[in-house]
Amino acid sequence: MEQEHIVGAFDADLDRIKDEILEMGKLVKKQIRAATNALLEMELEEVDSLIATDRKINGMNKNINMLAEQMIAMRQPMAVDLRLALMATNIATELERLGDHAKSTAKRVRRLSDTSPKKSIMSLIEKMSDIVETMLTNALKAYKKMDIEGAAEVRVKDAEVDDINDQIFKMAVNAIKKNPEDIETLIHIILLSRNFERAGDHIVNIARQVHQIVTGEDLKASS
Amino acid sequence: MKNKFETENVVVHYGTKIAIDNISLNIEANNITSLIGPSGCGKSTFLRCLNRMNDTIDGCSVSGKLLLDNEDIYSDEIDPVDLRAKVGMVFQKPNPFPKSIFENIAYGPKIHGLAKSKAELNDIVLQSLERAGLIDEVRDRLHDSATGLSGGQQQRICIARAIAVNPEVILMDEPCSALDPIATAVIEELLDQLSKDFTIVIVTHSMAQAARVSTKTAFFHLGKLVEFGETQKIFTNPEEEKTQNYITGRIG
Amino acid sequence: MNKDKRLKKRHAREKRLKFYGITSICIALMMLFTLLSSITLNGYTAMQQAYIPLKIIVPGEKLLNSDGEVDAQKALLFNWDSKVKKAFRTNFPEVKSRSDKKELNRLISSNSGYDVKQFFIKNVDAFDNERVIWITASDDVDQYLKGRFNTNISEEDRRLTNKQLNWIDRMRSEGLVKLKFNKNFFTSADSREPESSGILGAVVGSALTMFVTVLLSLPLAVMASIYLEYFAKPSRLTDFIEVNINNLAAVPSIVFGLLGLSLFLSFFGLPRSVPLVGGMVLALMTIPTVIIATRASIRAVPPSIKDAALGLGASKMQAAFHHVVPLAMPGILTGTIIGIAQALGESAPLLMIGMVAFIIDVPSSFTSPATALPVQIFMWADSAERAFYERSSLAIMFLVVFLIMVNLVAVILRRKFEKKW
Repeated sequence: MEQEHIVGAFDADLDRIKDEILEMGKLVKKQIRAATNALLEMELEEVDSLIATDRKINGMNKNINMLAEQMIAMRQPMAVDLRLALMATNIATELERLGDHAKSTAKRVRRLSDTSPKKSIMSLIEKMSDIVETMLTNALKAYKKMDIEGAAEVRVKDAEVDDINDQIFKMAVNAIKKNPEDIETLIHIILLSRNFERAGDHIVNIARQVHQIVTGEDLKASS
Repeated sequence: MKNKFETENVVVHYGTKIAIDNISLNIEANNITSLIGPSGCGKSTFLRCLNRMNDTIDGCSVSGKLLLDNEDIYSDEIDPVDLRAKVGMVFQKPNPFPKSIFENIAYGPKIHGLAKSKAELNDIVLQSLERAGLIDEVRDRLHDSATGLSGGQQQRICIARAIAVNPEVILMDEPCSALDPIATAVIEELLDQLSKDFTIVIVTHSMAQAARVSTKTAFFHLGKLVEFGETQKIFTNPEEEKTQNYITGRIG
Repeated sequence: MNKDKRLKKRHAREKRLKFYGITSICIALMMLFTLLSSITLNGYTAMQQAYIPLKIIVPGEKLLNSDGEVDAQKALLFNWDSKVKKAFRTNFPEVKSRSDKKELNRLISSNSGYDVKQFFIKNVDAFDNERVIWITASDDVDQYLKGRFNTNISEEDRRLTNKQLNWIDRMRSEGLVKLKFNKNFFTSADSREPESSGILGAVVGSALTMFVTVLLSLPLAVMASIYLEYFAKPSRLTDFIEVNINNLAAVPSIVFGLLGLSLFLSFFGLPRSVPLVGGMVLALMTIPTVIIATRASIRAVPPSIKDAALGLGASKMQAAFHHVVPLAMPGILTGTIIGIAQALGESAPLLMIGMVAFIIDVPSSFTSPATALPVQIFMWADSAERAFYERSSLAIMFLVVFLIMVNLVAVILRRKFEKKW
């Protein structure tokens, strides 16, 4: 929306919400990276600070919800403005869930700390994490620019994440068959992989929200 | 849904200035249609075409097809005076006659000969006041001056007065713009009730009001019809960018 | 520092402005007061008239006919003047010589014979007995008793000789002459003698004329205004008409008199000096004023009222007459009454159509010769007798009071009909 509102404060309110979401997104991205690092390096100290940051993310979610509610009450937004406000709350929710995934990933590090999973699987997990991070970056960019093409690309990229998840599952199942005593570790791996897969889904939702803001179309309903 | 009004290629000039530039718009029967748009966009002018009030303005010329129930209201056989009994109007500023409440409501029926006796006239007046939701408030002061009432009550008197001649259509030109929010809400509720029996066309500056009250909305801009559709759609996801800019309060 | 100075200057300017305003008002009031007091001082004495109580016996057999009523022919032939004079001179037995008798006779009004005749015609049972009839003294006696007689000029140039003055003084001390209420002023028409003259004829003439004026001007003006305001399409022609109406209201009234003279009298051959023609001329003069007032009142009615009526399906005529005109009534009435009050005081146009004639009868119809009050005042003020001058002033007071009352009626009517919209 290039055109400005006649009432400048309206634009300021909208920008505030946008900035909060971008901040939250940045923080969540950092969380994902930190969680992945902690996983790969088996760093336990990182886990505590990660958990603390997660509380901050939850606070930001609450804040965005409040800002959206206020904007609806004070400005009675219509059409695209209304969608901006409503979808902002949805995006914040998705970001918060992403944060939770990062947290649960980090928590699993504690469980895996005294094990040494196979390199091949861990590198796949690293790849998933990278893709997820890229997806999040692109989704946030698409949100900033209200770019529905960028949002579409994000949705496409999720297929890769799903693929890797399937791969990891197969590898893990085979590894369990071969070495049943490693089953605990491998179940954690499967669950970790699923975390990232879910994370991808949440980011796809964010992209869908961006599409809905711009076109008013709810893709989830049609698909 | 039947069309009460069918208009095609309506053009209105005030002298050499063009006020309505080729508008085609159909008004559904027994529904509330709202006309929105910035100042000077022609919505009031269009409204006044529907009951030929533009005839009273010097230098105003109207062309195009305007049909009420399939009859051309601008044909020579139609008397504007009769038309206005069928198509009533309520104005922006409440304008009751400086007479008693009873006389205000009774005036229309009297000049159109709708009551054959005093008792019948009395009935018409009471009925109109009831339909306008005013009967309880003025039942025991029907012969007091209408100008002594509050703004909201006066506007409802004007509505009752318009109803008393038993029109088919009620045109309203920003009827609530001079009223406080409570009076406005009372009238909006009244419109809801009335739409069952009448076709209502309302011009309003308040988009919130158009959104609350009407089933269909037309957006005018600089004498042209930009968009016309279901009110729900216009205010959540309009087709035209101009419409969106207007309803979200954007320049451009 | 600068702000204080500006403030002081502004206060000083305001004080000066107030001073000018109050001074102007005071000057205007003083002039008004001077005018009113001079008129009053000159006129109040006309409320009284010198009357002489006359002891007289008239035998009835010479005048009554078989029905017991006064026979007109006999009354005409009877020498009332000499009877009255003789009766009067009984108060002065010492007056013997002819010239003295003539001088004495001049102390009573020359119309007293006629007045006494009228008395006996009305009161047939007064015959044969001695009656006391109050007759009017002559105007010189009247003015002398009111102190308006200049005794300082030499006897030959005076209207009353010293002998007469002595007689009058004697009469006064003996109660043979008294100043009583001047009922003739209110009950008689004009006369050659001031003591018998009154404004009734002029008042009735004015009333008849005004009636014609209102009857002609009010409906025409209101109709014209409504047409111009509601039905005429604005064009060069209507602008032209409007400009002309506004100018007509400012035309000197004597021009309307000339118009009346040439159009009504010369061209149409209508009789001169009648209320009908006077009314028509004054109507011409009043119509522009009333049109202007009516148009202003109609314009002052908010257009929303007219729109409301039209929106209900009223025709233009219905909207105009059911709603706009009644609301404009206060203004219309005020304009009409002011126009009439103005016409009431006009003399110039009436002079031109000849209402300056000497009319001794109270006019009985719209086509009987009449005069109007302002014209009467003009004629009296112009005459030689002093007594007419004081009557003129009293008539002016009468007219002023009447005009004030008319304007008060206008104010009251306006207040009464003013409705809030």
